[in-house]
Amino acid sequence: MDKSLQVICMGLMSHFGLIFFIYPERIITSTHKGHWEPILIQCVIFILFLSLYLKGLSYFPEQNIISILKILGKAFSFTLLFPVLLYLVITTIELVSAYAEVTNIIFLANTPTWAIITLMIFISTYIAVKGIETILRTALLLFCIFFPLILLMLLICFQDIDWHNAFPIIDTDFSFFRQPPYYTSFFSFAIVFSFLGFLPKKISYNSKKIMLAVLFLIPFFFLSVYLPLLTFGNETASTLLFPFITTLDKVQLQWLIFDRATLFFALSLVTFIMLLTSLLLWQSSIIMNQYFPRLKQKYHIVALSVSIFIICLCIPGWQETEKLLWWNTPFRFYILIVLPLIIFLIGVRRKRVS
Amino acid sequence: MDGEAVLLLGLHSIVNLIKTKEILKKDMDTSEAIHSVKVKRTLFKRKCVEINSEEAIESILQGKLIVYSKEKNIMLQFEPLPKDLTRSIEPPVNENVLQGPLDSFIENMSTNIGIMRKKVSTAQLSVKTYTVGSDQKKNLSIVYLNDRADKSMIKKIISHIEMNQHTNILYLQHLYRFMGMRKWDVIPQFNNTEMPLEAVDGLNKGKVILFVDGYPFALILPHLLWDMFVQANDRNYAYPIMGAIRFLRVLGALITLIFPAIYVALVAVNPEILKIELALSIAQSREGIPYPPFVEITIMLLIIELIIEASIRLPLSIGPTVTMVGGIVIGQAVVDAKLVSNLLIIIVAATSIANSTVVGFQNALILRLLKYVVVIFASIYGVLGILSGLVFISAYFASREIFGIPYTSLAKRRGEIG
Amino acid sequence: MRSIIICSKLVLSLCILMPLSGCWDIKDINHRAFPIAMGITKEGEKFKVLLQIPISSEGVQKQEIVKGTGLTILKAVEDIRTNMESSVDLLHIRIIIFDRKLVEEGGMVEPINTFMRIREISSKTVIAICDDNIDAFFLTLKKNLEKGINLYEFFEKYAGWTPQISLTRLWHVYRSLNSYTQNVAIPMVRSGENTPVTYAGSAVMNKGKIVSKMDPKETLLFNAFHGNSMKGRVEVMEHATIMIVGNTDFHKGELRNHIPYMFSTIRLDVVIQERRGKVSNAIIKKELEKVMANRFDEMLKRFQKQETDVFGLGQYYRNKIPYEELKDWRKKYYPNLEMKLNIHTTIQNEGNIKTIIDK
Repeated sequence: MDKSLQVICMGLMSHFGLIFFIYPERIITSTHKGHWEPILIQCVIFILFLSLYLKGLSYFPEQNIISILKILGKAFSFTLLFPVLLYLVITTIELVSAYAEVTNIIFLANTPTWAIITLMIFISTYIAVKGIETILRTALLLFCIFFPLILLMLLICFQDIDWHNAFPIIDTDFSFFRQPPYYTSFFSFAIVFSFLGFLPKKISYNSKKIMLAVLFLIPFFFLSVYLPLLTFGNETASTLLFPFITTLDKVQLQWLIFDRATLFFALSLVTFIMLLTSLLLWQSSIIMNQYFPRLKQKYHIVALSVSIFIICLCIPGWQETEKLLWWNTPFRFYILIVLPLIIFLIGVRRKRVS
Repeated sequence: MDGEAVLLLGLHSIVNLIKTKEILKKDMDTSEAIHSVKVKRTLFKRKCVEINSEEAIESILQGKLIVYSKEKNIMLQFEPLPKDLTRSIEPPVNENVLQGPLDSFIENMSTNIGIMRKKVSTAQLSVKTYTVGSDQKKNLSIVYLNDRADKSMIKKIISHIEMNQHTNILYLQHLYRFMGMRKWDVIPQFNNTEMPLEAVDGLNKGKVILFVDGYPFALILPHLLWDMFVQANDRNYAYPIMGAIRFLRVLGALITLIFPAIYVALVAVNPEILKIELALSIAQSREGIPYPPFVEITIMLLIIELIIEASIRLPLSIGPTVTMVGGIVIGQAVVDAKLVSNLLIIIVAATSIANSTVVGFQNALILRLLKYVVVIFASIYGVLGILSGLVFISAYFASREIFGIPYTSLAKRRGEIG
Repeated sequence: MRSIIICSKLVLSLCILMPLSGCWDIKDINHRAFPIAMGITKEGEKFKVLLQIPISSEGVQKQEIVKGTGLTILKAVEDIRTNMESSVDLLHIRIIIFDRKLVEEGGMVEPINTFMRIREISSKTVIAICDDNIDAFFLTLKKNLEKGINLYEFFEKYAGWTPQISLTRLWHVYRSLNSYTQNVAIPMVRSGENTPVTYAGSAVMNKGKIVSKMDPKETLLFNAFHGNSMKGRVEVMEHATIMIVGNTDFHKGELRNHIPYMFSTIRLDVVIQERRGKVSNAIIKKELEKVMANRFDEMLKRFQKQETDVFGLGQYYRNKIPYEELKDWRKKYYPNLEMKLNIHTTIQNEGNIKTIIDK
């Protein structure tokens, strides 16, 4: 049964949640002119490796990643899958603690962080326990409810733009390659579509539609960096921690009964992260179920979420979360580049053999 | 008969004895002998069947008449003229229709099936009848269209019925357990409707209809999320109007879930979202109220629920009085006594109205229950809580599956489930 | 077994209700005070903060002015908080008024940075400078406000804004503190006799200090350059009085030999309201253009001397000057800028009375 629409919604929503919070600040810090260049390079890398991944998966129509890697032998597949598992778990910890901090900084200054972490983990675990189909269907429902609002908010942000702020537009230096924030900004790309490899066979999707959806997503990356840039100018935007949220905040809407209506928009993005976290938990539980088959998958998820909760409580603040993002970078590139390559190569070899 | 007296056995309350005897007298042929009856299989030109004593009790309970010959020890069962124990076909009581067909189902199952046959006159219509129950037997029918319904689902339903053939079905809850639904699930598997138009629409979409004898509703299986917003009668209007009305219902459902929670969130946790003029006037309206907004809204919602529940129970003569009292008490006095702010009355009233815009009483009940969940989330986390509550409810809806078909599917026809 | 599971789930869900009792962010709206205007000045080493708080009692709205002092602004607010019976929430502040002396000493930079950092004050807050004693200003304000007039609506486009008032929000000021190519003009107000405020022109800021003043007419040109509408502004000249009903502008910048040249055109649509003497429309147009051009030239020369790019002309050169040199825009390039301004006027109509001119 073709479930492309659900898969696309899941991917789009998770990306939205990731793009608008931390990503603009990374790109704006990594360079001071020609911001479209780092973004374009990232998008090209993403599309390239995603298409490799999809092609590789298409050589094995009824199998998921774990069974594909098993061909290489149990020990080797374990070494290949273990970084994936590590990345999934660390990213979950990062996401939960980062977004709880973000919520604390921006919205609810007095609620202690552990309470927000509880909320996020509780909902994510609830969704993850119900299975992948629930996750995908919830994504579709939430997309229908929230997407028009997001589009509206983005259009409204064009209120105070000065196009001259986009200059200087050409960067011949490529200095951003030497900046660490550039590499951590890849996290908006790496994590989302890896779940395609874990889907059971009854959830089928059309690869072309997915690539189309990704192309639809690319302008939003540019928007999230350029809207703050055009409004504030590069010098000011580089001093802000959440440039996009500040851009949202300054929007003046006379006709709405709410004052800071953009709060709704930003908070709905946080809820998308809850959905993404549930997806990550589910993926991790599949890998762990492979190696500890005695415990049922539900209990894996609960155990994982409890341990993630405890670890998140130990993270004291924003600086530590940033450090975590930096440490996770090698695994990030593993999942973004190495894993699709491996799958693709196995697929090509198998095709040649058969 | 043939010069001997025979006994007519039957239940007076079910069989119209006088009329039956008249008709029998007309066709009576006294020379007929009982044993010839056995051979000819007709009694007084009416079909009859020979039975033994165990089956006799069963058939008397079902309303048949027994002719008993003491000497020859023969019992013959035949169909008498039944007493008219059912009401006639009337307009629906629980559902309203504007400019659509106005007949509704009644308690008698065969009449209901007859209404269906009249509306869907196709050879593909299959009706399967089962008798279920251990000591109180009831008839159960499954109706579906052969070319459209999902065969696997029908097989599952039939296997469930056959598995549980000896459980009594007295209430719908028993039927839910019968069909394998868990006890604490809020969302029922069936969508019950009084209107044949809806049932026919369901059949054409490939759904399966259950009729239970004595229950004037068609139970449409499976129940989908989209049924909350779609009434078959919508298609009798023009297309843009249909779209607008359905959109209105979706809006009503969202308002039911969100409004009370927004009040709590904006007043207690996140007042920066309100415009300053609104914030000041709300603060003014809340002056002197001794408890936090969460308690305030819970009290008001409970009072509304009590009023709704009470108005169902009351006889028609007292009903209006209580409504008036409720209106005055809630509307005026409670605000004047500074127990509740007046903005809250508006919100609660808007919620109740929005709650009733969804199609189907059971669906409105589901929303009525779920909005409390969102209110609790909102009172702790503010606006984030409202959104999390919505996510939670969406996840709950998304996780429900009825015989393999997810609750949130949008099936226009089988095969497009997603 | 099942009943144990159910009981434990029930107990767990009841435990969730426990946090409701001591909730963190919950504070009822009627226990919060929402100041809508804030005044900041300095007394010696300490900051003094004045807050205008609307209080409703028995259905009547009253305005209260409360004062607090402290070493920093937030400390002063805390001083106020300690002494008030409702919790003071800075969430709804719509206008912040700085004392002029404070700004002249350069004391505005730190408060602006603080306000952008904390989430409580919205970045849409209007910033203004008070020309006379801020205590007296707020006192007169209170008297006038009790008639129901609100200060911030003086600045809002949907209410009392007119094109000669510069409208500056917190984020504009923050942006100009950091930008290489833009400066901002902050409106100056003082208390009026029959209105809450009198507009006294704008103060032009450079790095958080006042460098110059603009009178209302000059502020009008400033607004026009930033794309704001000049509609409704009346200009009195020797032979006629006209009202501007529309304006558009077009700018082009060029860099030759490290000297910036700017070619700007402003188109005005006007309506003639008063005519004195019998003059033709062409003469009126020429008069208007001369008046505007002269005003602009004078402004530009003044600002060039003070190295303040109020008109934001540097924005047009962002793609012409390399980024590293853009830092020195105000010092190196801006004083040498040569501007050629063309003003085109179109007279839309002359009202109800025809004009007969002897040719």
